[in-house]
Amino acid sequence: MSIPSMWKIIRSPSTHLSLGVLTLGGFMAGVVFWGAFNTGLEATNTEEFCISCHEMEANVYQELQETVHWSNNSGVRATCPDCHVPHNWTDKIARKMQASKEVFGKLFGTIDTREKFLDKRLELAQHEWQRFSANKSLECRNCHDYNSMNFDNMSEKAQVQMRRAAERDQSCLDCHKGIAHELPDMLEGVSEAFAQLEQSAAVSGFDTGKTYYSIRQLPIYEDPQLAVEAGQLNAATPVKVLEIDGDSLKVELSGWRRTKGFGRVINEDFGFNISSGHLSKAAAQNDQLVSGFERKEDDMTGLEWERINAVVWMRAGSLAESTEMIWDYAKETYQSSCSVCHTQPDENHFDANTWPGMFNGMLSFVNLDGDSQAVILKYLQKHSSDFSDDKH
Amino acid sequence: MNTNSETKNEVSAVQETKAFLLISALAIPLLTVLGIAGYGFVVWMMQLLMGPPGHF
Ligand code: HEC
Ligand code: HEC
Ligand code: HEC
Ligand code: HEC
Repeated sequence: MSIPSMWKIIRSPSTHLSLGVLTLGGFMAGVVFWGAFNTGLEATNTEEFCISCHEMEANVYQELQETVHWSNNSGVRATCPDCHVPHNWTDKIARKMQASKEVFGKLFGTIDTREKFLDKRLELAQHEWQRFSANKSLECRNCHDYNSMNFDNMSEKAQVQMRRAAERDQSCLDCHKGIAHELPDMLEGVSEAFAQLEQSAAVSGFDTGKTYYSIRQLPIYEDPQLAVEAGQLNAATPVKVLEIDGDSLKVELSGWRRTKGFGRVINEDFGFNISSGHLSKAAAQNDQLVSGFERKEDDMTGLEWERINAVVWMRAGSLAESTEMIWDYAKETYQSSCSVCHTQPDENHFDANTWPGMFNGMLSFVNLDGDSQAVILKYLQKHSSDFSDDKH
Repeated sequence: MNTNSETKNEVSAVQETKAFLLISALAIPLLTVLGIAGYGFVVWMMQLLMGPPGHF
């Protein structure tokens, strides 16, 4: 049958098939089509389909298995499409078309090795972050709902942040980046870098009368045998060596403390909450360890401060001759870990007493060990608007 | 089929059934899939121009 003759038949009223047959036939064809179409769509919406590409199977799929969305108390498994494919029909179809580009990438081997994947990862992740940020993490919310969260049962850290997030109806990914896969390489190697800092900056020989700076948080003691703990020295804090006894150093730590309470916290200077360390309750009230000098009242808070010298013992180690290398490390780590979600604020954007609140509020978002935290906070305070030449 | 019998009244039941199956089982489904793909493509292009879909 030629096409023109077929066309003619199609255009003319039917002579043999009744209206009922045509309608029923058309209707059934529609039902079959719709079923088949959706089955096909669903088939590309399964995890098996996603990981049928080696690229996905070898990288993100393996990583997902380490996370709470793979195995948890509730037994609910989040699959790739749960998080990555929009549920609204229009967006889903658009996403599928977009995936045709990914099939192209597959055919031409854009990311066929782990190395190529890792190189490309930041870009891929940024696309996803952009998408989640535009739809307020809609896919997460198909399972999670602020209104159904019991904040009282959450960890303390989560309570504060999550309550605020719920009030603002904030996008989950503002804070929960890297929830299902490893983050792109931005924060890697922080603790190795710290170990390296300690290795290269620590001095081995000490002179009495000289000042040294602690590289990390260090314990301090009341006695040369280092048996009775007297508290803790903060990172990047100067101490003057008074006496050397084998592996122990007798050091002088000077600073200011508030007279209210037990006076355990030693700050670097009058009126500044820049921590130099803290003393145990016993040590703080021991006149033989801690000698007090002049007192001043802080106009801002109306609290009285006292200048003190604490003489304590510590192990001879983890001390540097200057803060130079410590600040270099802190600056680098600050820039790499705090620029993930927003550009990091300039050091002198805040004053020394504002930084701790700002910084501590952000700590739950970053992967930093305690020592790095202490060093970075101190770095920020010491380079804050109070100390910077071009004040903000 | 031969062209002689092809006058308005001489369309056979077989021809008509074939034509019906052709459109209902082949042509319309194909066009629909193409249409949906085209629609998805257009939406994708719009998203590229105007940013990813927002919250509704
Ligand atoms: C298929 C449903 C589902 C989707 C989609 C989903 N989650 Fe989850 N999520 C869960 C389940 C189930 C748990 C585990 C609950 C439990 O503790 O038993 C969980 C746990 C979590 C936790 C707690 C982690 C922990 O260590 O306790 C966070 C945070 C989280 N999800 C964030 C997200 C974000 C962000 C997204 C979007 C990218 C998302 N979820 C998408 C089901 C889902
Ligand atoms: C302002 C930042 C912020 C936003 C926005 C946010 N979260 Fe959280 N969320 C946190 C912090 C911080 C924690 C605590 C993480 C920890 O303890 O390591 C947390 C913890 C959680 C937990 C575990 C709670 C617990 O202790 O059992 C879940 C589940 C969770 N978030 C889901 C979500 C979901 C879903 C969204 C989006 C609808 C979201 N979060 C948005 C900051 C945020
Ligand atoms: C719980 C939600 C969730 C699940 C389940 C999930 N992803 Fe992701 N995925 C994300 C988020 C969020 C990002 C954005 C990057 C980030 O924060 O790590 C992402 C990023 C990606 C990226 C970009 C590269 C990267 O690592 O940043 C790929 C590729 C990817 N996912 C593939 C998959 C595949 C394949 C699966 C199934 C095996 C899967 N995802 C399952 C939430 C999820
Ligand atoms: C996982 C994402 C994330 C990371 C990593 C992160 N932040 Fe934030 N930051 C946010 C979000 C979201 C806000 C805004 C919401 C809020 O105030 O809680 C914010 C707000 C801030 C603000 C408040 C700005 C203002 O003017 O009030 C400061 C300061 C800040 N961050 C500093 C830091 C520092 C320092 C680090 C590194 C330790 C850091 N951030 C790492 C997500 C992040």
